[in-house]
Amino acid sequence: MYNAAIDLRRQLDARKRGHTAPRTDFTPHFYPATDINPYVDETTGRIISNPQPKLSPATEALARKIVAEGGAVGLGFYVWNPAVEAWGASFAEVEVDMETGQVTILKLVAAHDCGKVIHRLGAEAQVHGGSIMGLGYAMTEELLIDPHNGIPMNQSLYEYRPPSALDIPPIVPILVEEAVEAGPFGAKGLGENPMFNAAAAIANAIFNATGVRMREIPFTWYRVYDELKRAGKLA
Amino acid sequence: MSLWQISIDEPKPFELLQPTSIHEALELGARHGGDAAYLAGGCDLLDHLKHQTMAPHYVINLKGIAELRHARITKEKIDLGALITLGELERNRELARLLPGLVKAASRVATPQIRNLGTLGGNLLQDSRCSYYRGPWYCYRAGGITCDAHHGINSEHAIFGAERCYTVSPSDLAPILVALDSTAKIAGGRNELPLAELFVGPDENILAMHRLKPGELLVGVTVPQRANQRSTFIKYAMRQSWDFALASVAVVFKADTGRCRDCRIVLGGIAPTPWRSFTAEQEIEGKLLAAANIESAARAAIEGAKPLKHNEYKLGLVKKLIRTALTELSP
Repeated sequence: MYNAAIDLRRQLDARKRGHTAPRTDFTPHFYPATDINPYVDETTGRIISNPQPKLSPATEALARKIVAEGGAVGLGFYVWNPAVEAWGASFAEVEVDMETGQVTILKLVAAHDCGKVIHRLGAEAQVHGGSIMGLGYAMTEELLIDPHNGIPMNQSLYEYRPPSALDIPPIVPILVEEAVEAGPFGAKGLGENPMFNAAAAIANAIFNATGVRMREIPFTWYRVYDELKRAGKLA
Repeated sequence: MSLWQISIDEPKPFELLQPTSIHEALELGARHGGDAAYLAGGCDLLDHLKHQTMAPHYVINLKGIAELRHARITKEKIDLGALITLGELERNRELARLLPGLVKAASRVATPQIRNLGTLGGNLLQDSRCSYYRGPWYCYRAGGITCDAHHGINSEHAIFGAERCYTVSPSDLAPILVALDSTAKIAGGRNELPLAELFVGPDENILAMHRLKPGELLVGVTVPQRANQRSTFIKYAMRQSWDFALASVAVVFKADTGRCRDCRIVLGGIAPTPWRSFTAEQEIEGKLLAAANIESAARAAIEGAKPLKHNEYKLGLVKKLIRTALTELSP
């Protein structure tokens, strides 16, 4: 999108300068010098420094039509490089009471590939904080809406139940330092990532412990109890 | 409460009255009757005032009355004033030795900040926490004509003693104080009332949680001292702090060479009043605290329970609570 916009601005700038001839080259715009995305040739596995991508026939036809009618078209493309993304994995250890459906989180481990760590204390705190938010998302936080008249029932912070300090299990952050050239000093993002996977890890841990798949968050007592009852696994 | 009130966050104007003695407070209470509200810790009342679910013209602040703060421990009984804060109960070493169950219950209420404000009397007399009652539904308890909890989100509602209204007793001190055979001391009408009778279920009065009339004042609670008495309290909530009980249990008995005498098992958070489980008490009365006896008491406790759609887990929870509490107290 960014590349396409730059291309479009070039086209419009050229028009202002008096170059009014319609566009004939419909190759998507790409700067090997500045673009961070290497283009990997699928057959050889090598990075092509100056790729020549093509538009799909339908898109190219549309672009040609717009240009023929006097419009301007900007074309660009982007190659997703998984190496510059921040990746993470979480692990949860839980205890499920088969009599009441109570789920106790014993331990959370969160491993994150955040590139070069610039400030270790801050990065670890970010993983702690994100895991706690994920924990609340998984276990207690819920906007309750009355099913019959659609009015929200818990309109205060107390009733929304974010986790309290006493509800937090030991959290072990693991930072995988895989520096990339793209970020400043080789860093990647670690803002939201720690928050995403705690709930999924906890759901899988509940499945591992009980054989029951939880398909709805939060895993409150009554939801787990109902699932255990349906599966005939109540103690 | 009507729908437009949903966003109100400011009280109607009221006059603050500050008596310095019980006598003075009762006089003010008698003069203004139902148009006045007694203020102690304010954890519950101020919420009601802010949402204008209560709008008295006079608020009588009890915090200036020193007489209500007494804690007297004699050989026969323990007198606790209604204005003692939960934090004071929690930190009282003498009480921790004599009534460990009560101290445990006080220490499980809400958060340290709330415990430093909230009082014993206020905890016992607090209003229903049902979201449907507190929210913009025209519910029976709010003087209306329906109970939406019955067919709505009722995972935290009653499995015992419900009659049209399915609210639960939110107090943590009530189960343990009822189990300890306490007496409520009341001024401005009756003098004394067994604490169990202070609470009223919806079958008798659906508009109130307790039996105090406007103008009456809970002065304190008297707990009898008994030899070889053992007590405990356990509460389960969705969070370890700052949460009301999904269910709680208070167990008190006299240890008699390993046997249970005068056993009291009182459950909180599962009925509109502190729910004394006579069936469970009968199962364990005079018996050894062996695993088999404990199990039969736990099973007996859920006899006759009527769970709603989402609160059946409370059956397992009650069993687990009674089992855990009795096992904890077994020698």
